[in-house]
Order: sequence, then C-alpha cells, then structure tokens
Amino acid sequence: MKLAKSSILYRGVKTFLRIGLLALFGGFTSFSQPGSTFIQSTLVVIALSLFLLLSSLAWEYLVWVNYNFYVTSDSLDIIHGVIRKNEREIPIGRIQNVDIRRNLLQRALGISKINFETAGGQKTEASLKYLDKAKAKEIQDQIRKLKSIKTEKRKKEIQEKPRTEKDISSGLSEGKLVFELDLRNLILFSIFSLDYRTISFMAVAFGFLADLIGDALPLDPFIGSLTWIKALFYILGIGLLAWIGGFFTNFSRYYNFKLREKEDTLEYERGLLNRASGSIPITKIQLISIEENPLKRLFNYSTLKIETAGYSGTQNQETTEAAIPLAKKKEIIDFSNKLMEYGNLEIKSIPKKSRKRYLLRYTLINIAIILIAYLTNTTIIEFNYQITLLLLPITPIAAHYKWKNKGYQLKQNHFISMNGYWNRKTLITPYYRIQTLINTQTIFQKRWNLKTLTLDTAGQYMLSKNPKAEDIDQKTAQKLTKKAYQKFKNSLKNQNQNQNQNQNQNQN
Amino acid sequence: MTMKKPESRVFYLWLAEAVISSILFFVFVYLFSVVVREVELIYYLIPGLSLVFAVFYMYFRYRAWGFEIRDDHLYLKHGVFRKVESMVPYVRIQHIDSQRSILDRLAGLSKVVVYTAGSRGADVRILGVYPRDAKEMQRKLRDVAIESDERDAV
Repeated sequence: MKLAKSSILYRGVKTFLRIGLLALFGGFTSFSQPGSTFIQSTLVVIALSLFLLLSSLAWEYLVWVNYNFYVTSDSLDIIHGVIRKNEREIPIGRIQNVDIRRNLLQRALGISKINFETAGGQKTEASLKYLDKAKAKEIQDQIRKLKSIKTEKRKKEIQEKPRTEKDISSGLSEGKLVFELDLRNLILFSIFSLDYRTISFMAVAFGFLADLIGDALPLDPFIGSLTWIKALFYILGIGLLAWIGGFFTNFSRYYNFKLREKEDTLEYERGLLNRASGSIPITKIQLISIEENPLKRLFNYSTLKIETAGYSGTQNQETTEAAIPLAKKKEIIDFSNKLMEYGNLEIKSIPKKSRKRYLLRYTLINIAIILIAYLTNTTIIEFNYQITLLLLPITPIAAHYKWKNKGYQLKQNHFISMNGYWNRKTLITPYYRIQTLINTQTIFQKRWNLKTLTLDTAGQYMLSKNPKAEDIDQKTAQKLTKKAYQKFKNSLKNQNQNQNQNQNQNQN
Repeated sequence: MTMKKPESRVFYLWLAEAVISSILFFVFVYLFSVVVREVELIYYLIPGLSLVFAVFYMYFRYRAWGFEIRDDHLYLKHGVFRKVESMVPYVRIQHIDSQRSILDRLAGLSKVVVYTAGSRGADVRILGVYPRDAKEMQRKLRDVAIESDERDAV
C-alpha cells in the first residue's frame, strides 16, 4: 500500500518551509551586497525559493515512491528510504495502540497521520505520514480486527475483560490508605535528602562568592593559609547551602504525602503549594528500588520507588516519583513484599578481588589528579596543590565502601541487586520481567576475571539503571546467567498458567 | 548450532569507513594549516596513526563478532575494549528492522536490528549479513516472535 498522493504536496511544502529560511538568508546577503538594487535582491529570493520548493517536492516524491507498507494477517511491514533503506516488521499482536491524528491543515486536505505503538520504548514505533482519511480509518479497523481474532484464538488476553459491577463500585471509592508521611517523617526526610545536583550547582555559584569574601578578608600576609581557609569555607558553605535548599524543596514537595490503594493501582498525592498526584498500576510493575544515602543508612531509613512499564509514566524519565518517600527500612521491606513476594533482603557480596580492583583504580586516578594539580601549579596558576594529597588516605576507605555497597541475590522468583554508595539502590525484579540478559566485560575487568551481568527490564530508560551484578567473578557470571535464564523461562510458564486459570475463572 | 560470523566483507567495509574518515581528517589538518595557521609536519602523522590504529581495531572488532540463532533466544557477542554478550528471548521481541545505509548498499550488505521493550541501549543489531539472509532472518525472527505472541511481552 502507498501513502496518499497529496502527502507529497503537504510534506514537500513542510520541508520547504523548514529550509525556506535559507532563501531568505540568500536574499539578505544579496541585499547587503553593494550595488544590488531592491528588484535584483527580490529576484534572488524568488529564484532561490522556487528552486528550494521544487527540490523539496522532488525529494518528497522520491520518498513517496520508496515508501511501501503492508498489513498482512500477522504483521505490519513498512519498507522505506531513499538513500538509507529500512524495512520494519511489527507483529500485529505486539501493536498496542493505533491512533489517528489530524491537524487543521491536514483536515482541510483530507489526510491523516496514523501512529502505531508497541510496549517497547518511549517513542512511536511507526508513523505513517500521511494517508487518506478513509484509508487511515480502514487500517485502524483492520488492525483492531486482526488483533481481536488473535486474542480470541489464544484466549490469553485478559486486559480487555469487561469490568464487573464490583470493579466499578470499588473504583468510585477513595481507596485504602496504605501510607502517609507524617510531619515527623517529612522533616526527617527533608533533613536526610542530599541532592547532589544542587551541590554541584552550588559549587559553581559559591566559587564566585568565596572569591569575593576571601579577597575582602584582611589575610593578605598569609597567602598560604588563606587558600586553606578558602577551601574549608568553600566546602562547608556549599554543603550547608545545598542542604538547606534541599530541605525546603523536599519539604514542600512531599508535604502531606498520601499513598492509596485502589483496585490494581497505587495512587499518591503530595505537595504543599502544588498538589500533585499520580498512579502506579500494580500489574505493570517492572522493578522496585529501595534507596538510601549514607544519612538514611545511618538511621535505618529508606526510600521506596516503583518502576512501571513503558508509556504509562507521564513524567519525564529522569526522576521517578517515590512511592514511599521515607520510612524505616523494615516497614519498606514489609510493604514491598506485599507488592512482590521476594522475602528478605539478604545480599551476597561481590568477590574480594573487586575491592582490590577499586583500590588500584582509585589510587591511579588519585595519582593522576595529584600530577595534574602539580603541573598546573608550576606552569599555569599558583595554588596549594598539596590539598590534593589529602585524597590519598581516603582511597582505601572509598574502595572499601564502594565494594561493601555492592551485591546481588538470586531469589526463588526475584533477582536482587545492590549498587552505589552515595545513593545506594537495591533493585528487585521478578524473573518474568526480564527482557534481555547482558554480560559485559571491559578490558580492565578482564585482568581480574570479572564480569557484569545486567538484566534489562522495560522499567528503565537507561540500560545502566537496570538490576546488575557488577564485578562478579566471570565463572559466577556464567552460572548466574544460566540460572537466571532458566528461572525466566520457568516464570513465563507459570505466568501463562496463571493467566489461563484467571481466564477460566472469569468465564465460569 | 554453531556461532555465525558476519560476512567477511563487512571487515573491508569498516576498513573503507576508517580510510574515508582518516582522509577527511587529513584534509582537515591540511585546511587548518592553510587557513588558520601553519602546523608542523608531525601533525600530519595523526590521521595516519589513527588509520593504523583503526585497522587493528577493525580486525579485532570483526574477530569479536558472533551471533547464534538458538532454540528460544538470540545470542550475540561483540566488542573489543568492552565485550558484550546478549541473550534476547524470542518472546521479548517487539519488532524487527532490516537497515541498509548507503555504504551497506555499496557493499551489498544489510543489518538486522531486533527491538525489545527494554531500555534503549539494549537493542540488538546483527551486522554484515547479505540482504537475502537479512530478509530470511527477519522473517524467521518475526515468525518466532508471533509464535510466542503472549500478551504485550513486558
């Protein structure tokens, strides 16, 4: 099948408008040329515009000629590309949404854009620009029919089960309150929150301030001591300011936080000035994350975050809303166990040789820093480079804590991984949420026979944020991969059985 | 089942890419020397050295590459400085592309890209296959994905 012929015109004009600025620019340069008259310049603009318009249309014609798509009984195939050829095949069963969009101009031209979305990724998987209005509708219907035939045949789809009366009535109710952040915990949460991004921002802002104040202090005769004082002042100042700033933002953000359970979703609301709310569909939970920075660890508190699949998340991908901003770790473990029964959080630590590796790595980095500082000091600007020597005694401590806060565990039905010192994250994912299993080994890891096993899920935008057992022995990694894959396969079987049982129960 | 390798001509394609970019690099150094300020002859060695490095790199890159279409998952390994081994269960495949860039077309090659619902960095690409084989692989993977068509695969 082909796109609508009128799409050539529409797309051509659109492309032209996008590059039309060039024509204007050409006109302006000729305006500024000495000796060119107004008419000459206008002619240049018109000629350039015409040329660009014609070439845009020609290009879009080529695009149209090379664009073909087919709806077969089991897949949607799109073949396109003038220079770079691309063929995409999307199994019908994987298509989740087909939506048709038309703006004012497209309506006037009688064309529609049709988007296809699958569960994968954040972006639209395929977008046909543009089709005749009737054709777009036809394809939408066709795919819906094909999808329903498939679901009939397999009787596996449970998502479209009709809501029973009970569901509707419980949907109207307020829902059960499962967690509330009281004032004491809110204050604690705000105190405990260390926002490292604010700190780095403050570092820059404070640099100027420290310079100003430092210069004003009458310490000129003690140049050496001045730099020390400055540095100390600088570090303490940044910390304090960032912390105060963080306190207030978190206080107003999570003021009167409530989490309710309604049917199959968790709904939260929060905020002092702006009340915000959102929902987390329990059936779509991909992984849960239990997070603590050093302060929270010291007092045995944790934060719970929940990652769900795909485009259900309306907020940006960088920050996930906390499901429980702050509670005692035990409470968090109890609550998250209700969401997915993983049991206790016993973590296996990674091999001791990894700690040696971190020590070596940090020491090398440290030596590099000292060298750079020394060289800058002697050649570019003068400053107290000895400060960098202070880092040296910290390296073993840093290496130890990096090692200590890493670990993993293969549970009966869940994989648990723990990583990070500054914000330690314990990620728990059921095996049936695994998308791909990835083993990596850098050349630095190879020296120590270490590997990293990452279990990719649909809950994270970035691969590196997924559950991973980092720096484990390569033999262990091999075994772990095998076991995890086996558990994944078994979990799929169980999932299917459960779904079929549900289906039967619904029918009875 | 045995490990498959990309067609050997993909190595030459990579070499061609490396040669093209070092020529561009060379031209850049030359233009810089003419237009901005004259540079010492030694700077012309940089594009040359990077080409030598690229030749070795491409050789090891080719050697590291391999894939296997196994019973219930796709296995793939690649990487020189960072070795990566991926297992993609067929039940998780969302859709499959076959892509051909202009250089691919000149070399008569194609690549197959397998998408899952996982994170963006985890999409799997099989490089250096003949277009006919790519088509076949795409069909095959699509069919196994349809076969295992359970729910939305997340």
